[in-house]
Amino acid sequence: MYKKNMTMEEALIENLVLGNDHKESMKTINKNLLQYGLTPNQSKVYLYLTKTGEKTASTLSKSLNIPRTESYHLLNSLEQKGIIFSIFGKPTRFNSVPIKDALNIIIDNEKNRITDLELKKEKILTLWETIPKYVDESEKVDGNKFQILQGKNSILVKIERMVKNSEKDLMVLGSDTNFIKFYHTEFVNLLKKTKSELQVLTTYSKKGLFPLEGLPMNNIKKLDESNRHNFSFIIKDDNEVVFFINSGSPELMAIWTDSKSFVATLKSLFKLIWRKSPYVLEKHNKSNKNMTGDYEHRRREIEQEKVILDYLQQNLMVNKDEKNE
Amino acid sequence: MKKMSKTISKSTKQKSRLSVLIVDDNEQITKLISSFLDYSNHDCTVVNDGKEGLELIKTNQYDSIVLDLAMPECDGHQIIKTLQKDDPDQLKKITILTASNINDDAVKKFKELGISGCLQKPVDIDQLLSNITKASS
Repeated sequence: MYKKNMTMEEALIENLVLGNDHKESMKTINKNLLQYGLTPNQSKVYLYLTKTGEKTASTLSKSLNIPRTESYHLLNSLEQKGIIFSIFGKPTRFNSVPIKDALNIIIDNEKNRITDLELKKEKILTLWETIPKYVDESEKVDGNKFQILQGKNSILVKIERMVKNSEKDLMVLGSDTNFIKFYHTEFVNLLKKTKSELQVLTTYSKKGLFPLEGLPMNNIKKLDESNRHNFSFIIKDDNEVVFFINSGSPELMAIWTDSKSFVATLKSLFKLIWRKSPYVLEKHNKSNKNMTGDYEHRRREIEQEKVILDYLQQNLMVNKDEKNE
Repeated sequence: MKKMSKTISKSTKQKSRLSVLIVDDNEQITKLISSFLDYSNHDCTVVNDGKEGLELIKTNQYDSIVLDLAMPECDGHQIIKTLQKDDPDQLKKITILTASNINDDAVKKFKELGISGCLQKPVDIDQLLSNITKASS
C-alpha cells in the first residue's frame, strides 16, 4: 500500500491511502477541527482513528510519529472530550465516535461551558461589589486607550458593543466585501435596530449589498471605487473608533481606540467623503455616467429658475398694465 | 398673453397668509421662490444651508417647508431623519423639491414617513404652490 517506514500520516499526505481528491478535504477538515478547540495533534489522532478504526496506543504512536507518552496524553484528553472511547483489553484499544456525533458533542460541551460562564458572571459581579474600591475616580482618565483586535470574533464583539451602546451617531465605512464578512452576524441586525443616526459608506454592487438588506437606503451612500481597498472603519458617537488593518494576512485585524483626536480626525474624513458621495438610491437611475447625472441635475435647476422667472415676469407685466390702465 | 398672465396670477394668489421656510443650497432658486411666494402674499424665510434649516425648523413654527435633498454638509435626507426622530409632526409640512433623480421606492418611503409631497424640478408654479398650501393644512 505505502512505502516501508512511512507513517500513516505521511501516507495520507502522499495520497497513497486516500488519493489526491481527498487530500484537500482532509486538510480542510483538520483545519476546521482546530476551530472546534482541538489541538493539531488531537485533530490528527481523532481523524486517524476515525479513518482507520480501532487501534492501540502503541500502533497509533508509531503510525502518527508521536512519542508514546504524548499519544497517551492525547488519547486521554480526547476521551475526556467524549469524542473517542477505549475498549478494555490487553492492550487497551481506542476508537472514535462518528464525526457527526463528535461535532455535536463538542458543540454541546461548548454551549454548556458558556451557560456556566454566564451563571458565574453574576456571582463574580455580586462578590466584586462587596469589595471596597481603592481607585480614586478623579484620577481616571477617559480617552487615549488603544487595543489591537485580532480575529473576526474579537472584532465582532467590540463592534457589536459599540453599536449597542451608541447614543448619537454611527458612521460605517467599508467595502461590500467587508460587509459580507459580517453577514449573518448580530452586527448587521444591531445596525438595523439602532436609534442613533446611521451613515454607511460602501462600495455598491447589487451582489454585495444584500448583507445590508433592511437598512434604510437613504442611510447608505456609495463609496468611490478608488477608496475600496484603502481603509475601513466604524465610528461610534464622538468617543470610539475601530479601524481595520489590511495586513495581507487572511485573519482580520483592527485597532480600537477612544482617543478623542483620532476619532475627530476620522470623523472629519468620513464627513468629507460623505459629502462628496451620491446616495445609493440616486444611483439606481443614474447609470454610470456621473457627468450626465450632474448635467441633468443642473439642467433641471435652471429650468426651475426659468419657470419661476417667467411667472414673475408675466405677473409683473400684468401689474404694470393694470397701473397704466 | 396679458390675459393668460392674469389668469395664472389669480389662481395662484392665496387668501390665507402662510409662513413658509425654504431650505435649498441654490441661492438663485430660493430667491425666486421667495419672490413669487411674497407676490402670492405669503411670509417666506430662506436658508441656503441644511444645518441652519434644521435649527430653524426646530426653533420656529412654520406652516409649510420646502426642502431640497442634495445639499452639502447636512442634506435633506439627514434633516428628514432627524425630524423623524425628534419631531415627526414637522414631516407633514414638508414638500420635497429636488433636481435629483428619485425612484418610486424613495417616493413611497417619503410618503410612508408622512411627507406631504415630493416634486422633481422643474415643477409648475401652480403645482408647487398647491403643494405648499396642502402641506400647511
